[in-house]
Amino acid sequence: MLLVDDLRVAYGKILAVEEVSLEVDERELVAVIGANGAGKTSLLSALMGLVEPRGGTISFRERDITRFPSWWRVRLGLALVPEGGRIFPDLSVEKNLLLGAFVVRSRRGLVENLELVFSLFPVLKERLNQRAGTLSGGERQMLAIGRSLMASPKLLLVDEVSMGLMPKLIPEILGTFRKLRGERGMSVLLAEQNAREALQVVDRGYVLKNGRVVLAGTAVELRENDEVKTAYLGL
Amino acid sequence: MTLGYLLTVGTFTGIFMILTLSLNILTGYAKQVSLGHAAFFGIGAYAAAILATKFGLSFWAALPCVVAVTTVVGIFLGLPSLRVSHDFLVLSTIGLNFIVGSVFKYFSFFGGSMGIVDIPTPTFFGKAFGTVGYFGLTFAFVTLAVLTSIYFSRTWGRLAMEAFGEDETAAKAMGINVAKFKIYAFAISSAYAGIAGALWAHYVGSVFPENFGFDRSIDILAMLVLGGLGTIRGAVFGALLLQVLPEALRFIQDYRMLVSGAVLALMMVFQPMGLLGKGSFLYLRSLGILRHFRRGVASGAP
Ligand SMILES: Nc1ncnc2c1ncn2[C@@H]1O[C@H](COP(=O)(O)OP(=O)(O)O)[C@@H](O)[C@H]1O
Ligand SMILES: [Mg+2]
Repeated sequence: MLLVDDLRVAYGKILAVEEVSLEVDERELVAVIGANGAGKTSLLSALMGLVEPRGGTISFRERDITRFPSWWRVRLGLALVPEGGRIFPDLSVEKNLLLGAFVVRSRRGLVENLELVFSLFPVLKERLNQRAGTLSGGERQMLAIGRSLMASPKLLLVDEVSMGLMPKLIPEILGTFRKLRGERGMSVLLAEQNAREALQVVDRGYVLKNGRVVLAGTAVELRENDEVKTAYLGL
Repeated sequence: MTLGYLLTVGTFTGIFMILTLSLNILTGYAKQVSLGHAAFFGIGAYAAAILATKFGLSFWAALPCVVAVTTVVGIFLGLPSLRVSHDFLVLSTIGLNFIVGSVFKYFSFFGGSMGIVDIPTPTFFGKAFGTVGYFGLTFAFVTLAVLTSIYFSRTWGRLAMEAFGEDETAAKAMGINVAKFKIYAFAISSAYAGIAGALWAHYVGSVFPENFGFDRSIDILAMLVLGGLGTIRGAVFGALLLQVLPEALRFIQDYRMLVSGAVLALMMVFQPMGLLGKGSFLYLRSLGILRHFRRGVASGAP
């Protein structure tokens, strides 16, 4: 479904992503594990069309989308939960959710997606008219995920949702991605520093270090890998 | 104070209401700060003046052309906003005042510093508008501007503008074509300004380059900021206040620029949402008073 080949991202002279190749299949949950500064956000930004790659190709659902603008990618079924959520703090929760559905617009699609979001995060329903900026950290992440779901994505890109969450919320939030795969047949690409939690929910993973993929394998393989154990699992 | 004088003040106030509503879409909704709005106003006024005096078009026949011209120029002048950051946009819109002013001043087609005079008063079924009629005409357009603003404020376009006004990258990730909606904002805003310009040109009967300078841009922005950026009620109220107060307090008139500048600076520091904007002191107070009043009526009923 998603095929990335030899992708490079740079900011001036700083190379953030180098020669990254990876793929995500239909109904697959895949993690990109990497420490702070490894290049996870740069990778997802390039996939979303928010930064222009220096080289390489991105194909999504059999189309070469490397040069497509973001709005086109969203229409094709890509959505992003940005790092830190990046909700619109001055707008109401309702408007934030509506904005997620910017490319949908049909009343039916909107109602269906809202129902899905409320079933996953009932708390958002109570907060609809509240300014999004007044939500707690966990609620903000829920809103960011809910907002991305409003576009009926086929592949969801998720940038460090676990960051800043209360530890006991993390499995719950990450668990929703498994649920989404089950109910909606969605695929998810999960960028995480928190390897321990991420490798609990995904099928496969890539380890990113200084912008390069240094390791790839199934979740089980990665959990058993000595390098991963010492560097990312703290064992 | 004669009725004629009041109507004249009213007509100018109406024209400025259209201008603040116009700027509200660009700066209030799309957060593209413009310190060059008088340029758009001037282009509308000059287009109307030229179409009336050189091509002999009536006000009504010229109006669609004026709107078309200002819309196209607005799109063109909006293009830099796609490339430059907010700070630089502010600077480049300041430059706009001087570029447009110079073009009016140094090209004989635009009348040079002598301006364009003898712009005829519009007619309606063969009868020229008098002071009362023109006041009515202006407020018909104010009403139109308010209604279309209300309509626009309920569209996806407005929502898109609010979104990229807060966070452009996040808005892009929502699938919003930010460039398109920025250009829309410039186009719509400058179409409104064109109408205001046409009304001005035909009312005053002449246009001069210095009518549409930087100081006028500051006036318009000060009105909007005073009333409340991003709200229709604020745009209307701000224009009313800053147009009528100086008339009432004659001595202020010589210090117009000082008043506008001070209003702008003070509001930005102390009440950036404006007098009637979202969450402003007065607006919250008035809501509170209304609620109190309603409760009073309800409990007072036997
Ligand atoms: N906008 C930017 N300008 C310059 N350098 C950047 C920018 N964003 C990220 N970088 C650099 O690119 C590298 C990768 O960063 P990033 O993609 O944010 O990693 P991660 O998300 O894994 O923490 C880092 O060295 C970072 O300093
Ligand atoms: Mg990051």
